[in-house]
Amino acid sequence: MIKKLKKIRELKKLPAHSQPKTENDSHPPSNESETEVNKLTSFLTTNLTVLKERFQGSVDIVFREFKVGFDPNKSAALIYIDGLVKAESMNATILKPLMFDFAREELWQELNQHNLLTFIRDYAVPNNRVQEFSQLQDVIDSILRGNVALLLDGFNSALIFDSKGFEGRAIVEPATESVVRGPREGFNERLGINLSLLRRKITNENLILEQLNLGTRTKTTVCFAYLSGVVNEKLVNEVRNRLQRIDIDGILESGYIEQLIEDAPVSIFPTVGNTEKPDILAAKLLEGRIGIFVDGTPIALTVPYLLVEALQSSEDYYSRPYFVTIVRWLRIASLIFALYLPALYIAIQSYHPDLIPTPLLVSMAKSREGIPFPAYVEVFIMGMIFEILREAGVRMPRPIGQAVSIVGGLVIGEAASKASLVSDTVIIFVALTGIASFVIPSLGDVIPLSRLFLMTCATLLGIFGILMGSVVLFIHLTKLRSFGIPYLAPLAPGNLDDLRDVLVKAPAWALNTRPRLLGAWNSIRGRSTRPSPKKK
Amino acid sequence: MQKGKRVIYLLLILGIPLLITGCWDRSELEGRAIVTLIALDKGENNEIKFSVQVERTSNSQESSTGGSSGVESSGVILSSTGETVMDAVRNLILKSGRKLYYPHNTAIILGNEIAKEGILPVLDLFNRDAEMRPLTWVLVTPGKAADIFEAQSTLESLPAKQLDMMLKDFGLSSKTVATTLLDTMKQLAYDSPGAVLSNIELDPNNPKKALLLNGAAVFQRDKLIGRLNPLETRGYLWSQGKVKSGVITIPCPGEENKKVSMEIERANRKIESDISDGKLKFTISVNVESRLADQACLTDLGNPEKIMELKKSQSEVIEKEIRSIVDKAQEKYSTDILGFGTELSRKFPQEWQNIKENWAEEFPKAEVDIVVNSKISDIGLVKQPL
Repeated sequence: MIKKLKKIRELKKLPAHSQPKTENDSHPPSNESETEVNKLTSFLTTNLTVLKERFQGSVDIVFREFKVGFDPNKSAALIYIDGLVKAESMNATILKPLMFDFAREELWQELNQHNLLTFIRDYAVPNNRVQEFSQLQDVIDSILRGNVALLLDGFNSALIFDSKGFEGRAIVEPATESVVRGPREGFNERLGINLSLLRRKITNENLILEQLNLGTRTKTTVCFAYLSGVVNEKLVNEVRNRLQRIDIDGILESGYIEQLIEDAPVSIFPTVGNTEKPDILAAKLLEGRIGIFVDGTPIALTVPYLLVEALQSSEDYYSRPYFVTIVRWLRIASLIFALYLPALYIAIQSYHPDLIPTPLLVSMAKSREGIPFPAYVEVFIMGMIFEILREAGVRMPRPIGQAVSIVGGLVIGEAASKASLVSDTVIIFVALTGIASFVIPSLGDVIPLSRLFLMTCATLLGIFGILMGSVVLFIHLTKLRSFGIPYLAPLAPGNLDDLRDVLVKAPAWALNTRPRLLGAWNSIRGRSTRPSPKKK
Repeated sequence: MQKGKRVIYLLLILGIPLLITGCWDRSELEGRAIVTLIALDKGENNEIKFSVQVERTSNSQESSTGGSSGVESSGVILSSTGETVMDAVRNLILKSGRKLYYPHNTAIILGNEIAKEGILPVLDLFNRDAEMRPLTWVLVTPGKAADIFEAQSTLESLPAKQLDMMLKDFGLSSKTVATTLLDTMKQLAYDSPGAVLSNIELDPNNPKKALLLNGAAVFQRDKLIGRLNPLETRGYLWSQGKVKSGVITIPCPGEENKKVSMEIERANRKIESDISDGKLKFTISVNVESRLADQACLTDLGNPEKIMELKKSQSEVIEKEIRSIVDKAQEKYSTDILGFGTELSRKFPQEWQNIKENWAEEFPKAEVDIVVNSKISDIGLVKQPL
């Protein structure tokens, strides 16, 4: 090492070293000198060769070699990726000062008294974010993230300027979570913008953003956010640990992270939530949850995720509470409809026709007349057709989607019943079930699966079967945990205080505590009382 | 290995419920025939004739367009005979092809002949079987029970539905009784002396064969012995405290040939029994509250004296109604359909042990007092007809 340092000092004295390359080439990389190879050398040409080797001739990597201040001895190079940097600002703030301004006499005098590198960093280049790296890998990573690297001949470290300027989507209203009342803005694919959106919601130094790079090949930036002082520190450690444990080659969407950190990977129930809206994420952080951003996707994750969150919507909190309470009940009713209606139909019509009023039974029997399939086959067929239509509607290009809805609504509904393939009653039940499951979009993939399970139970054992199936589902749900929190909280284990935001929606002034299991550290949200006119 | 074993055990445990479930009778709706009415008659050779009205579910399209007038009956009548009711029930499947489905049955109609021979033997199946409901109506008809099926339903599409509505609203007139299978069994339980069931007929004044609930049928033990006219039936209901509403017509004070209608608002009754010098005495006291519903005379009834008169004549009318049924029970039938025996046994359990044996003789000799306490709560929004 000492020998090497000496060598560098020698080289510094001789800035215009003519043949540095030969010296470096004579030492082929070996295990012994690996650290040296991974470091920048003082020779620009060497460094450039090494970098070009590492990038293997990718066409979008630009190596711009130039001389600083008209001095043929002061070679330098800018390395960046075409398309990831803002060319105009790079030209104006980096190239112009280095090439033209340095040629001025007074600066030149100044320069000779300083180290060129520190002078550039501290005086010459007006750039908001400058880093200095000597590790080759750091330099490469920075370039790949859209920064500009400046290499100077005679210096074994590189200056990294921030000049990111890649194209991205604007901040638009998310398609998945549209609201009537409330902020319209949604996350987009750029992590920095997403973080800034969140920061704007919570103006507090206790909003902490921690960053990791995950994915051995994609090196995706993953960021998790929490409110220190509100969040349970154990939860933060758990999230950090689980994220650090991830070993995968690529992360293209937050769904990868979700599947790699969730508590119950083989359960059909999600234990990690997601949202596309900064206001929702901010609300979850304020309750003591943790948000996880992944660069390149507008979907942020939230943990822990409990079942009751599926029944809540951001608008519940922005609207006056009374109608919201009824809407909550409607959602619960929709959930029950979506899960049980087809199963009940099968059970009643195959096992227990005595349970319904006579006129209803008669009209059901009339519509069943001439149908060639047993009830469960009928319901399975209609349910399958519905799912096919739904999937087709999602995947189809928009202009063709129209055709799908016509085929779906007209052909399947009207024609199938006219042709006595399915009964009208089943069409109504399947349609109602389908619409009801759209009311709770976050359980969109759970409901059809559970419904299928309950339908099978009903087919085999009638209402007794439905009961048994429900028992199985409930046992499973009570066993589930999301980051240590029981999945059914605050229903089971029950907590009366927290039920103010589950079975009903209490007004904002009455919701003054955080969910008990989440906000263990600071459970008081505020002390506002019911607003009332001033008493005389 | 250990895990594989566990899975096998789990599957076995999960399999057990499949074996221990009760009735496993999955069958599709189109394989069932929904029975809405049952009629029981005496057949030839001492057999039982079992008829059912089944809801027509096939050809739904034609019948729904054709039956828009609402008069056409949507029922199909099937009948069979057998030595017992169950025998006949199963014989019917030989004709129908579909399995008959009974839980939606509205009523069991008993023909006159079978009622005279005793209804307990034929009702036993309905009481015992899991598919039959205890809330099915039980009715008696003076002719053949199966003839009731010929009745045309007027407002409802199903004749059974119309019958059901008629019986449910019996309290608006209180001139008939509505007895379910459960009520019937309660009345006949514990060696009771008699029972009163509702009586259904085809309206003789209507050429189109309409249903008519006409009074009640009286049973000694389980054998039909006579019928009550509508007013006697109300007398019976007074004595049972089962009058819910209804209209009492009384003479108008001042104009005796004109009538005033009193609508019964609420009523209750108390039966007290007494034994003195070996003589039985029963007191039926009825409290009734009514309101003036309409008047056919032009007298101003809005003053206290007139109200007092109204109260008096209302009490008299009610007393007459009760007296008529008491007399009929004591003199004509000698059957305690009024439940005096039960009252007596509650108040005098020891004495009842002696009386019980010859209650049939003692009952007609008992003295019955009737006390009616009338109250008129309001006369409406006008004082007299304008």
